[in-house]
Amino acid sequence: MTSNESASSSTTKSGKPSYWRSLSELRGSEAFDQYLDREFPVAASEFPEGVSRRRWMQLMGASLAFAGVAGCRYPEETIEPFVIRPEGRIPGESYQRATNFELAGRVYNLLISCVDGRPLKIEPNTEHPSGVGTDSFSQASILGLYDPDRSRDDEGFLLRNVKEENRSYASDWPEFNDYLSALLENAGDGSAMALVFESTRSPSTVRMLSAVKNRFPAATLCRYDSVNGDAMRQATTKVLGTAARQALDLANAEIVVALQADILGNDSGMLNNAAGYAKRRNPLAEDGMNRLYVVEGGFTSTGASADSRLALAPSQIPAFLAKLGRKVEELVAGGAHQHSDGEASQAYDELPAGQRLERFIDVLAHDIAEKPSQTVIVVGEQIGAEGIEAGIRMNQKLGSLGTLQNFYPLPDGEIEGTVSLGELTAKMNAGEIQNLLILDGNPVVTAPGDIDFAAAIGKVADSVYAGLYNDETGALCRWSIPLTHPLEGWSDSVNDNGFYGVGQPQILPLLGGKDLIEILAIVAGESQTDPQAILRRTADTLAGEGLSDREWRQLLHDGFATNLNVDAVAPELKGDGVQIADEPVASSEVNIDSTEIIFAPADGLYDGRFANNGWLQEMPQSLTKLSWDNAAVMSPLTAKALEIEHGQFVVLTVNENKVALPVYEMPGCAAGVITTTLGYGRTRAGMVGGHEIEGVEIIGTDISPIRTAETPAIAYGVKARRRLDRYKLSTTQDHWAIDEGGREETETRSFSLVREGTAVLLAKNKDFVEAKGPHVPHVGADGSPWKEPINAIEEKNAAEGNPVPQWGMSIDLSKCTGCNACVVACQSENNVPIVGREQVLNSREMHWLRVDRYFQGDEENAEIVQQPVACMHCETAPCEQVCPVAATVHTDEGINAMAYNRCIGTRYCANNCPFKVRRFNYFNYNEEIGTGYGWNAFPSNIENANRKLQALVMNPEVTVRGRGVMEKCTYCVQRVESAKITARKEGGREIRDGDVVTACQSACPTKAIEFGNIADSQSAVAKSHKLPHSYGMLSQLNVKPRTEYLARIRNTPSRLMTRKQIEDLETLQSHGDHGHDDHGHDDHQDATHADNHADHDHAETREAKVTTEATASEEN
Amino acid sequence: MSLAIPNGLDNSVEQPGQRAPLVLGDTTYHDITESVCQVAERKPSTGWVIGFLISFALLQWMTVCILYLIYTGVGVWGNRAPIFWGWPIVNFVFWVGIGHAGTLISAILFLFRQEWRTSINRAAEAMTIFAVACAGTFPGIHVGRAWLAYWLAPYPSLNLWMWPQFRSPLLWDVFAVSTYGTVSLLFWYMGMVPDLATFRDRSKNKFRRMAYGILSLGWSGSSRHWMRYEKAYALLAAFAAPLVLSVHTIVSFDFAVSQVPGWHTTIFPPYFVAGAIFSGFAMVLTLMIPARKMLGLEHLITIRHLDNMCKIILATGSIVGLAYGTEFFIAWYGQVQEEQFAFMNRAFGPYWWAYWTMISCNVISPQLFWIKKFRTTPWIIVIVSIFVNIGMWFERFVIVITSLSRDYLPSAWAYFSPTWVDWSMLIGSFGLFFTLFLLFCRLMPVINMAETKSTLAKQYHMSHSDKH
Repeated sequence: MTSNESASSSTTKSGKPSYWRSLSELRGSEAFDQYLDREFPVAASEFPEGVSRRRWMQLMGASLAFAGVAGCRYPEETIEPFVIRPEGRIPGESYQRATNFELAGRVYNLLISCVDGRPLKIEPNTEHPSGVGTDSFSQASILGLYDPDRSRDDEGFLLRNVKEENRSYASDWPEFNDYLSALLENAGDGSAMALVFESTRSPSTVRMLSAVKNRFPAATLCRYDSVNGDAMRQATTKVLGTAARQALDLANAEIVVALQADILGNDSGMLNNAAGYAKRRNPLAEDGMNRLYVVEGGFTSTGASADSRLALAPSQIPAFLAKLGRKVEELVAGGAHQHSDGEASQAYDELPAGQRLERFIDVLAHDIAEKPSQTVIVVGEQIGAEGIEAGIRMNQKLGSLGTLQNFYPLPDGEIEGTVSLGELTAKMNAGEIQNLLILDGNPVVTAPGDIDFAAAIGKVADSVYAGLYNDETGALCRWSIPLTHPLEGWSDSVNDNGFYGVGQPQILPLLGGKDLIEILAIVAGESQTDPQAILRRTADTLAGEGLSDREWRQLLHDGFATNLNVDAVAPELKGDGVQIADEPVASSEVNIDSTEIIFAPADGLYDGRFANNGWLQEMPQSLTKLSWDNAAVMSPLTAKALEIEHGQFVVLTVNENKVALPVYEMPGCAAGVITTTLGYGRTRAGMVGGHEIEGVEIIGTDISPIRTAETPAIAYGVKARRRLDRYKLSTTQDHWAIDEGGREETETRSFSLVREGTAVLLAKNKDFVEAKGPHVPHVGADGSPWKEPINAIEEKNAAEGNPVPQWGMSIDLSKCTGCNACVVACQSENNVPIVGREQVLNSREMHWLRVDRYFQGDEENAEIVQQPVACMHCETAPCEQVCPVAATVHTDEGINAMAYNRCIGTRYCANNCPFKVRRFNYFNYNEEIGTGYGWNAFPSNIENANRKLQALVMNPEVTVRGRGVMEKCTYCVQRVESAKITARKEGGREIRDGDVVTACQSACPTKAIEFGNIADSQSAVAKSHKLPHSYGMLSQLNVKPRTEYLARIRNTPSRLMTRKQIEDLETLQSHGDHGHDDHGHDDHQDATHADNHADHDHAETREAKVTTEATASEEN
Repeated sequence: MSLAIPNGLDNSVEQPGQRAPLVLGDTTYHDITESVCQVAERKPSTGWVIGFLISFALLQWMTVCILYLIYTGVGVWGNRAPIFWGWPIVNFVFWVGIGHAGTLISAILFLFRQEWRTSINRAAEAMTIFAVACAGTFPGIHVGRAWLAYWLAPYPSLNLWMWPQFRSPLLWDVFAVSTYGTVSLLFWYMGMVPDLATFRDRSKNKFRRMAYGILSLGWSGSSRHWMRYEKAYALLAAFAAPLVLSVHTIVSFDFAVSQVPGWHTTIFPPYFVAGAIFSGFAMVLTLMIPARKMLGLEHLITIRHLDNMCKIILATGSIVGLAYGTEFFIAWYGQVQEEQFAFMNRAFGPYWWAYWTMISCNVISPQLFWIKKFRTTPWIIVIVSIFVNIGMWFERFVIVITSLSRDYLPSAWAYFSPTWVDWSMLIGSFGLFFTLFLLFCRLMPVINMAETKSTLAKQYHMSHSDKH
C-alpha cells in the first residue's frame, strides 16, 4: 500500500480522530495537500515504515561515519553496500560504545550496545572509575530514542504556530534559520530577550549560555528546576560561598542519617549513593555493615531500605535535627549516657508515636556520639535551605564534611544574574520580554500553580521552544523545534564524583533534531557551531592544555579520562549557622485542615518528561506498585481521619486551587502527611502518555495547581477533604486495603518469603534463615528410586567428561533497594511489551522480572520488604511437567527454557508455577504498542507505520513473541549462548565467572544480583549460595529453585528493634547448627537433622512446630 | 393383553411381594410405539419452534464470540494472572459433569439390571453426548493459539517429530474425554438402531425413509439381529461403565496433579465423579420433567422414575457435601499454611458469595429429598434440580477461580471479573446444548421403545402370573 492511499483513507475515515489526520488538520489543508502530492512521501510503505529506505540508508551510513569519528573503531565509510567488509565490522554482531549524558538531573556513565548501527541496550560503563550502575531512566532512554511522537523535522513537522490564525504550519530548518537570524539581529543588547533553561551539569551548555549572555548582556536568563527548586543552591551558596551539589561517600560511612532525603530513591545522586551504600551491606564482611537511619514523612525507597526508620512529618524535621544535634553535643562533651525512656521493656514498634521519637533520637545520638566522624547526616532538598544548611554544619561538627559529604561546584552556578521562573513570568506579563527561547523542560506543565507561565507566553511576540517533544510548551510557542535525544546528539556532563564525560551520538538524529549546544552556539553567534568542536574546547579548558586528537579519541572511546575531573568545593563554612529551637513533635493526630503534602518526582516519569515512555509509565512505582496512575499516598490512619478509603478521592486545596486525587493507603507514612507525585496528567505527551487533541487518554492527575513557587517540594497546612466517588487505581500488586484475612495472610507469609533478620541474630545463629521458612521435605533419601535432576546431570557430565555449566542466580536482599533498574533493563533486553493501563488493571502486565513488596507491622509503624522475583529456574520445575506439548523444558545447563514456537497457550504452566513469574500474551502486544487490541488493532496504517519506528528498539537476539504464547525470564539465554560462542572461539576455553552478565545483573546499581555457574565452586554465585543466609523461596515445595536469595539483614540497634525482631532473637538464636552446605541441592542427613530438631525447643513459632511434627513422623 | 394399571397410580409405592409397574396406564406395545413416534412425526408445536429459535440464536451468538475470540486473542475473557484459567475451564468441567448421567444410567444401571432406566436412558444418553459436545468446545478455543490445538493429539508431528508430553494431565484429558465421547456416541447410536428401524418403517415420505433407513443399518428385527444386538449392547455397556468413573477422575487430575493450594488434593477423583453424577442427574431431571409433560409421556416416564433419580441426587449430593467437609478437615489436619488459607479464603475471602451459593445449592437443597413428598412432586424436583445445576457450576467456579486467585505468593494475587464474552459463551453453550437436544426430540426416538416394551412384557407376565 502506498502512503497516498493510506493517508487518504485516514482522512476519509470518520469517527475517532487518528494521529496524523488531526495533525494534518492542525497544519492546515494546504500543507496536507502538498503532503499528498509529494512523489515520495518520506514516512511510509518502505521498511522500516516509519523511516524511508533512503532515510534508513542515511542512518546506517551515519552510524558508520560516527563510528569512524567517535569510536575510532571503524574507518569512515560511504553509504554503498560493502564490497569489501571494513576491518572489525561484522554485520549482526553487537558492539558497545561509551557515552555519558545527563537525564532528569542525573549523570550517567554508560556503554551503549549497538547492532548494525542501531543502539539497543544501555549498560553501565564498567571501566569507569566511578563504578556506578544504571537506573530506570537511563535504561528506558533507549525507548525514548525511538519514540515516533518526538518532535521531528523529517516531514516538515518542525512547527510554526501562528497565533492569529490559531493553527500551525509545517516548516523547515532554513525557514527557521532565517527567522532566528532576523530575530537575533534585531535583539540589540537583548533587553527584551529571555532564555529559560534547566539546571544542568553540562559545562559546555553553561559555556554557551555564558556566550549568549556575552552577546546579549541585557538578556534575562532564567534557570528553572522543575523538581527540587533552589534549596540546595541557596544553602550551599550561603554556607560554602558557591552553588554546589552534594555527593555522598557512603562506602566509607558507618552511620547514615537521611532526613526526608530519598538518597537511594529519587535523589539525583542516587546511582553514586546506591553503589556506596551497597558496598557496606555485607553482613559477613570484616568491617561489618553500615547503619541507615531514615526519618521521613512519606515512605520512600530509602525508608524501605533503612535499618531503623521513624515516620515524622517533614515540618518537624528541622526541629528533630536541632534536638539530635544538641543531644550528640552533650554526649560528645561527656554527658551521661542515659536512656531517656528507662529500660527498653517495650519494643520500638509498640511505643506510642511520641515515645518512639524520643527513643529514636536517643539511640541515634548515642550511636553518632560513638563514631562522629563516620556519620553523615543528609537533609533532603525538600526540607529547604535552612534545614540543608543545618545538616551541613552538623556534619562539619561531626567531622564528616569533606570526607563523607562532599560538594561539587555546579557549572551553571557560573552564570550570573539568573532569575526564577516566577520573576520571568512577571516580566513577561509586564511586556518586558518580546523574544523568548525555552530550552526543553516543558515549563508550562511543570511550573507551580501560582505561576501562569502558559498565559505569559501568550504575551510574548516571538517564542521558540526547543524540545524533545512538541509538548504543551511547544504548542504555545511560535516555533517548536526538535532537539536531539541524548543518544543521538553531542553533550557533556560532570558526574557525581566530578568526572567529566562526553556524550557522543550513537546514531544520526533519527528525527532530524539539533543538539542543545548547537542551538545555543547559533544564538550566541559563535563562529564555531559544530557541537563536537564546542565540546572539545570545553575539554581542552578542563584539561588545562589542548587535547591531542589521540587523547580526544581516547576520551570518547573510554568515556572518561582520569585527568578530566572537577574538584570538590573546599569544606570551609561561612557564616554562623541557623537557629532552630523547637522541640520535634511526633503525633498520631491528624488535622485535616492542616496536612502536609510532599511533591515527589514520580518514579518513572520524573517531572513528566518521560510520560510518553511506555516502559516508564508501566513500570510499577516502588512501594506503591502503581502503574499508569498517581495517587495521594497516606497512611490508613490519615485516611481514617479523612473518613476515606483506598481508591476514594481526596480534594487538596492550596490557595483556592484544588486537586482531586485518588487515595492510596500506605501504612508507615507519618500522620497527616500525604505524598503525591509529579509528572502525571500530561495533556500533550503523545500517543502513550496522553494527548488531549488526539483523544489519547490522559494518564493520572496533574498536581501542579497546588504547588507554589514558594513551596515547590512540600506544602504545609493544606486543607484535605474527602470526595465520595471512587477510582480504580491500577497497581501490579494488591494494596494494603484488601480484606482483613488476605492482608493478615500476606503479612504472615511475607516473613518466610522475604526472610530477614537482624545483624545480631545472624551473628548468633548463622542458620536462622532456614528456621524462618517452613520445613523442607526430604525427597530421594537412600533407597528411593527418585534421583535429583542435578545428580543425573552431574553423572552424565562425569561420564562424558564434558562439564556443562549449571546456571544459577543469587539476589542479595540486603542490597536491593527496589529501584526498578532491573525491571526496565529486562524489558529492554528481552523485548518485553507494555500492555497499557487497562491491561494492568486486568493483571496482565508482562514484566519478566518484578519487585514484590510486602508490608509488615501496623498502620502507624510499618516496614516494607522488597524482593525481585523472576523465573527461579527450578530444577524440578512444576511448569514443565504439566505442559501437554512440551513447550517448556529443561536444558542440561539447568535453564528452564521456553520453546515459543511449540507453545499453544494452555496456560497450565502458569497455574502450576508457585512463583507466578510466567507471563501470557493475551493479545498481540508487540504488534500494537499502545494503540489497541483486536478490532482496534488497526487504527490506521500510517499510525502503524509510525509504530514501526518503535520496533527498532527490539533486540534482534531475542524472539519477539506473538499472542497466545507463554513467556518468562530465560536467564538471558541469549547472553549465555553468546558467551559460549565467544569461549568456543577462544580456543574452546571454559566459561569463566563473569563471562555471562544478565541484563538485570548489569543494570543493578547496588550489584545485588550475581549470576554464574553454580557447578564451579569458585564462582561468585556458588559462593553466595553457600552463605548461611542464602535460601530458596518456597523450597518446601521441593522445586529446588536455581535463584536463591540472601536474606535481608538489618543492622538495627537493639533498642530500636520491633517486637518481631526481638522475638526472632529470642526464639531463633539457639536454633540448630546443622550444616548449611547441603542446603538447596542435597538432602539433609536424616539422623543429624532429626537430632537437631529434637534437641531444641520450637514451641514459639508455628513453622517450628510443623518441623517438629514432621520430624517426629520421620522417626516413627 | 389388558393391563389394568390406572394412569394416576402412584407407582413409587412399593407393594410387598410385587414390583411396582414401570409403565402406567392401559398401555400396550402399540401404545408405546405410538406415543414415542408421534413426538417425531407430528408437526412441531409452537413451544418447540420458539425454544429452537432461541437456542439456535444463542448458538449463533456463541459462534460469533468464538470467531471474535480467535481473531482477537483470549484476552477478551476475564482470565488474568494468576487466574490463568477462567470461565472456559469452569464451563468445560461443568459440561463434562453433566455428561455423566446418561452413560451411568444406560451402562451401569443396565449392568445392574435396573429396569427403571429403560424409559429415561435414551434422552439421558443424548444429553450426555450433547453435554460432551459443549464441554469439548471449550478446551479447544481456550488455548492461546486455537489453530494449533491439534498439537494435543497423540501423534508425532510432521515437522518436529515430536510427541505430546505424556506427563501432562491436559493430555490425559484429551484421551479421557475423547474416549468417553466416542464410546457414549456409539452406545447411544447402537441402542437406537431398533427404534430407528421402527421410525423407518413408519416413515411416510421418501426422504425420511431413506434417512432412517441408512441410520438403522438394515435392521430387520430378526432373532439373529436381536441376539447380536443384545451381546454388543452388553459389551459396550461393560466398556462404558468404567469410563463413567474414569472421565471425571481424569478431569479432576487437571487440578489434583498440580500443586495449587486448593487443587492439590487426593480426594478429587471420587469427589468429582460423585459431583458429576449429581449434576448429570439434576440436568436429566430438569429437562425430563417438562419434556414428559409436553410430549405426553407421563405414563412412560413415571413418578417412580423421578423418585429413583431424586434418591440418587440425594445420595451423590450428600457425598459431595461430605467431600466439602473432608477438604476442610484435611486442610486443617495437614497443617500446610497455604492449604489452610486456600479453604478459609474460599469460605470467608472475597469469593464467599460463590462458596455459600455452592453450599446452599449442592448440600442443603438436595436434603429436601429425604422427604418423599418432595421426591414425587415434579415442580419441586425441577426447582431443586435447577439449584443443583447452579450449585455445581459454582462448585467448579470455586475450585478453579478461588484457588488460583490466591496461591503461594501474595504479590501475585488478583480478583477475577468476567467479561461479556465470558457470559456470552456460558449462555451460548446452553444454546448449543438445547439446539441439539431439541433437534433430538424432533428427529430421534426419545424413549427406548424396544426396551420399554420388554419391561411391559415382564410387567404383563408378573401380573398375569399373579392371577394364578
